[in-house]
Amino acid sequence: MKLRALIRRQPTAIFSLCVVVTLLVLAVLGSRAAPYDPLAVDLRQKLQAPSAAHPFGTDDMGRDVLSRVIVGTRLSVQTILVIMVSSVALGLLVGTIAGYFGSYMDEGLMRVTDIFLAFPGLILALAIVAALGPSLLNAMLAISLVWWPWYARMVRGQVLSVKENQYVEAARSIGARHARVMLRHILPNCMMPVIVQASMDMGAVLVTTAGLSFIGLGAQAPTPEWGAMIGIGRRYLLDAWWISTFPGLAIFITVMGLNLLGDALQDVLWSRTK
Amino acid sequence: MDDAVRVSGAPSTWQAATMRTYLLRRLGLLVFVLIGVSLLTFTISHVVPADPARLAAGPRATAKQVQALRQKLGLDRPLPEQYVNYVAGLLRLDFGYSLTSRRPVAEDLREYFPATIELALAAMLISLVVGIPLGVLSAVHRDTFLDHVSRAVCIAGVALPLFWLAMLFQLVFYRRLGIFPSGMRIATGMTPPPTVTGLYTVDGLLAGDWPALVSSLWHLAMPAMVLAFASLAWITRITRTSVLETLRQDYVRTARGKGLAERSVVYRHVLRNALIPTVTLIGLQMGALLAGTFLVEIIFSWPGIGFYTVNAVMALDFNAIMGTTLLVAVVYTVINLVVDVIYVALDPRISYS
Amino acid sequence: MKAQTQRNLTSALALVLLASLLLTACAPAVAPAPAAPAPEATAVPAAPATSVPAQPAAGADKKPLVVLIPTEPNTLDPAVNYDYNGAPFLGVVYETLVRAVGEKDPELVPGLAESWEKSPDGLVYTFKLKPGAKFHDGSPVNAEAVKFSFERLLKLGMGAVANFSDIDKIEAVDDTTVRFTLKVPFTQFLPALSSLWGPAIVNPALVKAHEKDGDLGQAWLAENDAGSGPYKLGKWDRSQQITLERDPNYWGGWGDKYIDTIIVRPIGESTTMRLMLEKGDADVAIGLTPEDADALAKTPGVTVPEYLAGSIVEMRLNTTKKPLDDPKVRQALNYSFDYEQGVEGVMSGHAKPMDSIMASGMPGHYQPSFTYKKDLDKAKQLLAEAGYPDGGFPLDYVWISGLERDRRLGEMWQADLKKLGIDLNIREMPIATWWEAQASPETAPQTFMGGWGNDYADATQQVWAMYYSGNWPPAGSNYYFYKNEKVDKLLEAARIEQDQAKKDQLYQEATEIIYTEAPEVWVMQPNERVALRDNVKGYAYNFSYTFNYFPFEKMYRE
Repeated sequence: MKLRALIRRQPTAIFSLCVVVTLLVLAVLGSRAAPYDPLAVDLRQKLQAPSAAHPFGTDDMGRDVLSRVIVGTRLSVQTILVIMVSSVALGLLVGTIAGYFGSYMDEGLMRVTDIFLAFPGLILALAIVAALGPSLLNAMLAISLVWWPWYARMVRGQVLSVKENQYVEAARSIGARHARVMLRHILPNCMMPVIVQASMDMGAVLVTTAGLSFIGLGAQAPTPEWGAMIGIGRRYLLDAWWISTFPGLAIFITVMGLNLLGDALQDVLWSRTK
Repeated sequence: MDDAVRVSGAPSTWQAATMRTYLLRRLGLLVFVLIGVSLLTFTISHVVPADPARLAAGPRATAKQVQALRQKLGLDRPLPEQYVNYVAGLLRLDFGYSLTSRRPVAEDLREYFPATIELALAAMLISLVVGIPLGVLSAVHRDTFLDHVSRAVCIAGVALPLFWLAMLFQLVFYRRLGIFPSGMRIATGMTPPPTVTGLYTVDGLLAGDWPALVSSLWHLAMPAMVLAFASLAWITRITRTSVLETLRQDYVRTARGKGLAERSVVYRHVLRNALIPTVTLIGLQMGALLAGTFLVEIIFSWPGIGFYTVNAVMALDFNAIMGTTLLVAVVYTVINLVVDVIYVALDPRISYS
Repeated sequence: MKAQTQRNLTSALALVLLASLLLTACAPAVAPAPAAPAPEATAVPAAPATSVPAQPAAGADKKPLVVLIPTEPNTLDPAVNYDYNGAPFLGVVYETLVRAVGEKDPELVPGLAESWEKSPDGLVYTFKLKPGAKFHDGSPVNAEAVKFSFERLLKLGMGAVANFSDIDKIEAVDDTTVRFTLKVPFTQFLPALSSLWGPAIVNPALVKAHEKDGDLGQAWLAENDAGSGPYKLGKWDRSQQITLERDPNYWGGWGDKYIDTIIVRPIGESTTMRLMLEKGDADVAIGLTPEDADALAKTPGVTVPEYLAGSIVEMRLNTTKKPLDDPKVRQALNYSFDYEQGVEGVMSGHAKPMDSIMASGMPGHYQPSFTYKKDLDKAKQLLAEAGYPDGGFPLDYVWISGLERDRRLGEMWQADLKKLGIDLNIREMPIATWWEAQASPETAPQTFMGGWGNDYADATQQVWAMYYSGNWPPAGSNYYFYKNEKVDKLLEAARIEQDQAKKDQLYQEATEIIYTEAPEVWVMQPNERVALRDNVKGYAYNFSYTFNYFPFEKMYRE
């Protein structure tokens, strides 16, 4: 079909697809894919350089870095999914209501998004997590709170254009309730750009979470979250560069793959609608 | 974020008189947003589970002392009243007292903010100076080696966690190659130039203090380069896309058709219009840069507000955290306002004749 | 568009390849034994101004000594500051009546007082001040100044004031004679007077002149100098550096070798400190991680002497929370901890396991009749006796943000506790949250890792502060909410017992009871390690001041 043909002509999409598939596989397998227990402490093995036994070396507590990176994959995938789903959902909700009802509702809700958007994302998330207390859950909550306004804006724009469509008017004219109209007619047509945008944002979300964990505001020890691992590895950077480097590489490759996937998706979906 | 999605604010029709209306409307919006921002920061700082009076009193204070302090700080008043006092304080530029430095947060911010501005401006400068030419050349010379390099930079720049990159830079360029200093703003023992702007480089230049200027430039280099990486990627990418788009436009074909040299076509007709999206991007990128400094400053021990805030987070110094957040939000909002106005002024519907 | 994305792939792959090549290039260079950096003089060839500009050949003492510490102090008011961050400054800007000296086996020598007398009943101490002692502004350090300083300390009620709460009154008998009258014959009054925190003598004129809104000069003294010591407090650029300047008119005089300017920089990162020391951008550093200190010890041009310090790392147990209210459970925990690994694995061998409730080498250290060692079978047995044969309860473990050592100790312990069927929840807490939580027995965490350093060289001060039931938080440091009436009585009697033999007996008994009841797990006694460039001489460790103290007035460069 048209989709398959498009993909065949785009190796980038294949590369990113490979990355994503690897991510999902590792996420599902979790610790079963890891050669060692990611939490197994053995101080006699601490700070060992990469070797055959430990391809990514060991960290300051003697844990195998490769295993921790692998298990961290599941955490990263979960984090991205949770944040994306909640922020998209909230954005859809607010955007649809704003666009559909218009006038004061629209103005009011858009002003609220303005306020949230007045802060650079990381900084607002930092303030929120600082207030709630450091934990991965609070970090996910904070980032979701920071991210939804973008989607609300997008959705509202979409809704405004869809609203004028004939079948919406038709539905209203036969007396369909607002909720029904929104759900069945408007929403499905607005989801596309949001989903595309969300797919392009996944990388940024991961990096933001890692950034918060790096400072110590996200995942707590001994959770093998990539950002937290880089943070801990910083102390040992000079002698045990592997503790920070490999999680960082993992983030880099994952984000690249996700970004390219988002780009490819955008190409495919936009060219379909054009 | 790809194409900046800032729907509200762009006027739908253009007339000379509308500019003034537009400006007034935006200023009104600014005031509203600032009020909302203060409300949001106030709310966040009151969500805190820890008792601010206890935090201010310290670990050894008795329950009675804590209560006395609570009354003194006005923390037992009803919330709306507290909010009003809070805003009144903000208007006086009073952000409260910092737990860690034991002096007004406003003073702390005054001391640390210039360092962040210096870093952010330097990074923005690098991004623009490298990014725009790279984007333009990359678009004009499509599919050449240069184009590949620039696209690689784009992909990498957006995907790299900045804090990780900072660590790698420090490892390679300081430890291994000894080119740049490991951190801080100026060499140990060297007195900073007399404060005019708070930016060591500018102050050094103004005072004619060449050793200080050189030393501070050298110290600025690595952090700025690291910070610039991400926004460089974006600017290159947007510039490139924009130039490519513009090159396809009808009026460009017309210009070519008239027989104008390719270079002339590019640099006179295309550039001005193609750079408009880049201008909008600058606003967004400043926000990203400010956020980036938060992670990069601690690694280079760069004494800016990012460094200050991260340390404040450890100490649960909420006045400091909220003060910084508020300051950054205000700066970011104002920058975006300025950028929007410039964008409107550059709108091709009036500039092309 | 499609060709574009195809090229993207090539570019992306090229970049990844490049990046990995770069990293592999880095790898061998960052092996454990670092490549020897050039000696101090040729620190950074390409960068012209990364080290201090060349000085005239007037001698190495003209060049500032750069000292790196982890965190800068909040305030340098000696009556308010109560942490080791203030030690480098308080030790040389201010002076006390008596001084404590000695790398081990501390003893007291005259400071601002040249002699003293204690009354037979132990309630009155009379000091004769040295006649020539002067403050930095030239005014004399007289009895009035001493009286003012102590009254100020007591009135402010902050910092280490609890160590001096036995003072009833202070009288300036004449210009050079001061008399202290105590409420009870507290026997360790003299050692207490040697502490860096609290008993420093401040210049009354300066403090009174800068008083604002009845703050007794706190706001001003936080960043300014009212002392009499060999160094003056210079410029303080917050978060950048604090400068100490030699007072050439110091009343105690100078030898022929000294350092004029000392720049103290708060560098939070151990890695950065290490890099700076390697390159010669700094001369002295403290607060390094064990790994960084080890690496510096192997670096040519740097020495890292190590000393037994009178401080302990302990895991405090909240004795009011189940199941920690049962001493058997607490003892079981003491048998479950891997002390050897803590020392070898986490501290790389730079610590000592403990054998008592207090640090060894410290006066006031007494040896109980047994020692806790890791013995999981014994632990299991004790748990069974307490009613938890397979463990089966969770335990909260809190470590304070920034103290990586404590995080690692917790992770290590978690593994062992699993074998006993106990689930350890490791939680990080910013210090301010912990203050909040620690204020009452209900909210305080079940266990948390912390440390305690002495205020002065006498362990009995710690014993009183930590085990006396009157010292529960928030005012006191009895973080375990420990209460034992027998111990209370013993401690009350011991601290005023004039006869040393009887005193020893009382403390020995108290030590035995406390050790057996195990309100905490005594984890280790860490060493103090200081990194110095080879040409920095004159440094000596002072056991009484535990950490971060430098005898700058005796240091010089060759």
